[in-house]
Amino acid sequence: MKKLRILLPLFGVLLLAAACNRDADFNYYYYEPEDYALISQYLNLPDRPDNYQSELPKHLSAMGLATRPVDQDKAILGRVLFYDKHLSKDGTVSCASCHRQELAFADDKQVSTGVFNRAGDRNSIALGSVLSFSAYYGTDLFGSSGIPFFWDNRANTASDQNISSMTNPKEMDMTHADIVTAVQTQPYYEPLFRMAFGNGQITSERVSEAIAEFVNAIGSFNSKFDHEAEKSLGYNVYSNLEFNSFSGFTDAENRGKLIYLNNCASCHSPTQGRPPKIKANNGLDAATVDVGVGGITNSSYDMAMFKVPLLRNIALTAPYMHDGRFATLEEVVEHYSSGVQAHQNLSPELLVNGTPRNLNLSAQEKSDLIAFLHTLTDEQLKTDQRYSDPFK
Amino acid sequence: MPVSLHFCVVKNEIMIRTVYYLLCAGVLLFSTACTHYYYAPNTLQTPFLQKRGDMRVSAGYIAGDEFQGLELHAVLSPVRYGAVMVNYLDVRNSGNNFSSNNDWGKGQLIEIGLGGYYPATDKLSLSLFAGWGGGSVLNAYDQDARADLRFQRRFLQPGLAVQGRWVRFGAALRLNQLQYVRGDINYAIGEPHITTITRIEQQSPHFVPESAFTLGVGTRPFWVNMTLNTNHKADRTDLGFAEATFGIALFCELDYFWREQTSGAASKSE
Ligand code: HEC
Ligand code: HEC
Repeated sequence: MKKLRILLPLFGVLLLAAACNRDADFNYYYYEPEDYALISQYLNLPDRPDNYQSELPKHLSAMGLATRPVDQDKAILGRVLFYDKHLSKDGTVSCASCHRQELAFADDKQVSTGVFNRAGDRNSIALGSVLSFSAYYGTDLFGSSGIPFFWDNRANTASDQNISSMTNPKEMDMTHADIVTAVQTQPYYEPLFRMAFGNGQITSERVSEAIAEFVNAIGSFNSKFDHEAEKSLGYNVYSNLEFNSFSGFTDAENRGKLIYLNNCASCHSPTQGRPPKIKANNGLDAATVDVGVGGITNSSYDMAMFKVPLLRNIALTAPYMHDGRFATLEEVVEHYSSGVQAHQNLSPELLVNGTPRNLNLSAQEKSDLIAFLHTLTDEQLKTDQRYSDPFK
Repeated sequence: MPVSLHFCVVKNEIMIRTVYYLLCAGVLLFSTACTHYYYAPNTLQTPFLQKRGDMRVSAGYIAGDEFQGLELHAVLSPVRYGAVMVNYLDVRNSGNNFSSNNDWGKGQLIEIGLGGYYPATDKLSLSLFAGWGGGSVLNAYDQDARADLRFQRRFLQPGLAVQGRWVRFGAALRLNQLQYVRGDINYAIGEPHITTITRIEQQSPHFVPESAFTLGVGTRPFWVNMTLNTNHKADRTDLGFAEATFGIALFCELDYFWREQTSGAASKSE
């Protein structure tokens, strides 16, 4: 018995020592092996799913902007659908035809071309920053304070938007039934739908929901401007942006920033987070050429009003404006400097005493402003694998 | 919804912030499914051991934030000043109204401890145990995606117990080395769970200090013990470790029954 008395604690110590340190052996999996083999015949999808949940940089989150939770399974499916040409009448066009990653998801045509080379009506819109404003979307709670889609604000959600693109005769020209058939005939979709929705059933609503999830997840926050704005963040974001020179900016970029904040930010957003104005007329024409938002609301106050686009990646998305009339940023700046037209709905930001307010910028100021606009480019977005073409 | 009407006219981001926070609060309330835990402290035994042959068992209910379960404890002193303890725990997520049926979790643990005790007075007993055990935590999320983790735990547990005629009191500290040894994780569980689990994997083994206070009422040989167990690991929430558990157990001094007949003999052998 005495021996046991000593042995017991000894045994305890041994027990402790015996369970020697082992590394955790964690095995993460996503696709079933046979699903992955099938998918991999057609697609380059990583076996570990991409994370589509982005975080906003601090200068945006400090403004109260927040991202909504992304369903990554749906976003993965949405990415494939976004790049799939089977979703068009003649099999030549996908969303990505007019929204090209290397151009921040815009295209380089004055007006986009759709199936059978049909010319569209308007210039493609860059999708590089949907995330920062779509966060408000998809909820009725926000009603009109959300940012709608399209130049004429005609789509309220990314899902309304993409159904409209798929069925537009000048874009992909499909019916809902066409969409379902096109998707059903591709073998890689069954497993992807199963991952995203719990079963492999394919409906046009699900197609739309998945594409919307992907589009809503596209975020582009790695521009020089973002890095500097985040660094200089203080208590009051607005005044810090304005009064602090960014240490990583050149003098020209800092001067351009001031011109931008004083003349453009009231419409296009000082933080590049969410346009403060949903629609505006920026004096492109004196008479109404394209009715814009007015065509949707039928209000005379909305004639020739257009969505105020965010200017993220603006250097990549030429040509400019809803009709792609300006080929370069120089032309755009010249417009605000000397070409603002007295349309009846010209927005107050561009008016002084009832007449168009031309900025009359010097050559130096113009090039400073353009230098600043170039700081809004996010080079990483162009090659971000999560948003790239998955087809082999 | 009056809030959204009021904010129709909001033009700038600062004012939007308020309404967004309101929405976030709403989303938190309504969309969070049950919390998923990857570790929870089981109840610490604070046995009042006095002499060789002492044997106690207990069966009880344990609960934490959104989970609950069953516990079985036993401790035996085969030699004077020496003791063996065994603990078993089985908990399940109690879920909440908003979570789907696919969303649940459960955990199990079994462990053995060896140690010494010292009956300082006839009312106070000090003890020190070293133990080893293991268990599993299985969590299921939406779409039937699962994360199955296995862990081993070693611990050192100093404690004390005071026992009077009607009440008993115990306190103990448990210093754990918690090591995750295996995991099978479906990526489809999504974020933030993947991040939490990768953190658990990378930081394993974890040092987890815990404490417990027990209050028991009853009289020999039956007691009802209530124990509050607290996890003191600083980053416990980042790791999905439960903060505290509360146990209530029926506790029985088994030795009492055979001591009735052989009380003299048992103490003489020492
Ligand atoms: C034929 C070219 C073309 C195709 C194909 C196309 N788009 Fe577009 N997209 C455009 C044009 C042009 C606009 C602007 C049209 C307008 O506002 O009237 C636009 C606008 C958008 C917008 C609005 C962005 C904003 O900020 O308002 C989104 C989102 C979008 N497209 C997504 C998609 C998706 C998703 C698909 C595939 C289902 C798709 N597009 C297919 C040309 C195209
Ligand atoms: C009254 C609000 C307002 C102000 C002020 C304003 N803009 Fe605009 N801007 C718009 C609107 C609206 C559009 C889209 C117009 C259209 O396409 O019909 C636009 C379009 C643009 C575009 C083209 C975007 C694209 O994707 O094609 C650029 C570039 C631009 N603005 C730069 C500026 C700069 C630089 C300033 C300051 C000098 C400025 N804007 C001031 C409202 C404004």
